[in-house]
Amino acid sequence: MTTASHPAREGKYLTFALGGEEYGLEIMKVLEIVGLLPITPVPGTPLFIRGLINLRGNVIPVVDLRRKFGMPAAEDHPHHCIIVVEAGRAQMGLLVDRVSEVLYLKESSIGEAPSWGSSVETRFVSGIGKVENGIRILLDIENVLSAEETALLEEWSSDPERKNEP
Amino acid sequence: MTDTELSHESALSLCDEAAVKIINLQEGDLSELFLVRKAVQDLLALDIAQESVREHGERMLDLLDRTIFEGDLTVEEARPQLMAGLEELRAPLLADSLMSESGSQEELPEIEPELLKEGITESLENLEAGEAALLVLDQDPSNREEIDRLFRAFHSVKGFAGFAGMKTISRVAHTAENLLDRVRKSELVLTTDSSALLYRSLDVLRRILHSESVDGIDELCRNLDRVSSGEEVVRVAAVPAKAVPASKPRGEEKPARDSAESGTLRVSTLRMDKLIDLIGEMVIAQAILADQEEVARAPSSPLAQSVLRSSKILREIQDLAVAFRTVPLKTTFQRMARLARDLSASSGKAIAFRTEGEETEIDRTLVEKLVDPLTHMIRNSCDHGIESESERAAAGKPREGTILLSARHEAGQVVIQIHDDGRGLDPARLKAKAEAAGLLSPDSAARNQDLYQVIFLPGFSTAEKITDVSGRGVGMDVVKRNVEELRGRIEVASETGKGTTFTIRFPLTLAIIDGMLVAAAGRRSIIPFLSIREIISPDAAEIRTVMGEGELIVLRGKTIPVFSLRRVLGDDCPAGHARTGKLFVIVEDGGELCALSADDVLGHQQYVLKSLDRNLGRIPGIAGSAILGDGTVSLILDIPVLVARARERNLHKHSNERSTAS
Repeated sequence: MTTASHPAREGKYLTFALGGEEYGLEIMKVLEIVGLLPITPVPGTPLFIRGLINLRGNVIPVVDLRRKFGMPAAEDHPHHCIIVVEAGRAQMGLLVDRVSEVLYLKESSIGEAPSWGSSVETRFVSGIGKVENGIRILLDIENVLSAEETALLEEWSSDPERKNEP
Repeated sequence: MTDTELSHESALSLCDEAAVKIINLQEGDLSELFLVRKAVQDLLALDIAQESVREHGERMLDLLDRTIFEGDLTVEEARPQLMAGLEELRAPLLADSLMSESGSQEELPEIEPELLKEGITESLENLEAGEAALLVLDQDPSNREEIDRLFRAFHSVKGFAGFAGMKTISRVAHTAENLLDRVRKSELVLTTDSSALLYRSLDVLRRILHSESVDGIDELCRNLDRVSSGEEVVRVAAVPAKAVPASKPRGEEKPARDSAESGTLRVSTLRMDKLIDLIGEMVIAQAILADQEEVARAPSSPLAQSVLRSSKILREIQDLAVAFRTVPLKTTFQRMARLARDLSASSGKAIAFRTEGEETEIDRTLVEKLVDPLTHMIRNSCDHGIESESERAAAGKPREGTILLSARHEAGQVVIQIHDDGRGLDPARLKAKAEAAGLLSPDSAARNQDLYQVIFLPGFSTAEKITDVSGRGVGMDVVKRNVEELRGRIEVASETGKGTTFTIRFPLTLAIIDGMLVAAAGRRSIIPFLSIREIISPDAAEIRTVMGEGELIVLRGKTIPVFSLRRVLGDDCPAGHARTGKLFVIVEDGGELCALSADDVLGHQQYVLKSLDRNLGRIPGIAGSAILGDGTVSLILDIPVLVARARERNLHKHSNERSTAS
């Protein structure tokens, strides 16, 4: 594990809780954090797209990370937050259970993502951050919200049998 | 130098932004705190290599993180520290920026980037004007006025290039100018050869201005010189060229006077778009104001009256702002004229290209998107539509083919037509081709109008020989997609042996949409006014249920299928729902009518379109979104696509039911 192979991994991460685990996002990708806002569902989009919010006049889509990662759905709770991120040219909101803290992770405390075979989307994980009281799963948000994913979205929505409702 | 100044300026404004936010911070306001954090982060990301700034910035970030996440500090405690930190950040920046200001006075700037950019834009416009003149000169080579215009175009470009130190541009423009000067003095007559060289000069200049690399400049200049020195004129050619500087002051005077007369102002499109966005926001804020109880309850109160007055003014401002964004189609049409001319020359077919309604204005953001489909269709017309001279003669047609490109406004839409008097579409050949490509089953008995539609299918091309003009597999399907991106439709009409007409219709602007707000299944959605024919209440129409499932209404003797808006939006909905629907919205679906049943119609107004393309990509059936008066997001529906999908879904359902029943 040389610093040269992942020169950009060391740095600050915003961590958040999702389904009992703690995840981390590169802080430079985070634009802001807002509480739950009214979300307008969009027909013809995959389940993990919860819908659209009005962020001071900008309309941005919200991705429900629980649904995206195939976790059981949770009732909306006042703790729930939307983390607004910039991925590529797009702005997206990520619906998470709770925002935790900002962490500085040294390269030496970041491990490689283990391989589980094909059952877990390892493309979404850029590394595992080790901290005193456990681990933080560091997300590669560009991959989570990649163009490929959006392409899937188009394919998905052309299938008339599927609906937006769970 | 300028770069550092710029980043200093933005650093200072980021500081100010952060300060305002810190002052307004409320306890527990995570989102605002985060914005402050973002501002500081951006500041550090700016390329100002200064240790002190970096140090203070990092300290502020730590302070913010402690306040945001660890709860060590309350906002009240953090505020003075944050403000102090910001002040420390600001001081070195301010000192730097003052220093660089005084520094810039001593050093003469080479040329300001802003000025350069403007000069290039202006030069490109001059080249366009030159091309327009040249196109006229093709028909009327001795038109004095146009010769002058062309001369001025080259001259102005030369002037700018001299000022900006662009030597190649200077040289080409100067050589072309020399040639034209001799034409002006009636020492030379424009021939096809010389005008071809002038076209080439315009192209070369344009490409250099677009920072493309260009070959053959030496040869071009030599050829221009050769023509200028002219065979008919005395062989001592180098001397008359010297006469040019004498005409210089005159040439320089003219463009200056032109721009003064028109009294125009150059504004960056970015600013313009921002203004229109803000006006859109203002319209929304105004709508909220008008909805307030105090206003709605007492419509004659002074408050309500001034709200009404301000909405009227706002509406006018909005119309005006939208008009700012429109530009005439003239330039686009000119490009097409040039294209047709080149194609006519390279294919050896005689083609007369005419335009109508080039003064028609459209949103400037649409102009660029229109170029590709138009280019493709003109190419098609020249290549496939217009026959060769001998073929035309044999068919008893004039030897010269005609292509007419026209534009007009019609009921809030822009209509562009391309008509050629060529061979027209051949239904038999289309059918054979489509069957061979597997796009059509051999036993289908399609009408001609339906057969024409196959040209819009991917993978369809009738070109028997592949030329460099068209027929490379990029077909009308791409054109159709381009037009749909303009939220428009394309139609084709044709008569074998007489010609083909393509008609494109699209909305005037993509920024604002006239729509009807409807409610269905607890959601509010917007149906664009363009697709609404009329709105009726159910008792005015007769509802019939066909086979216990499909519903239709009989309206003025016509039967119209009914779709539940709920089902159209993808929700489950029991059959027979249309009967409980309160209102029917009659919409047009590809030339045929159909009805949508909605729970309620809430109102008609203009909505500022917020595109979803950038953040979510294109979603079939959704044209975009808009923010309603109460701040919630509402979807703008693309009715034809949604109805087509609802039909498809019904088909699926039926086939599923049938298979489970048997």
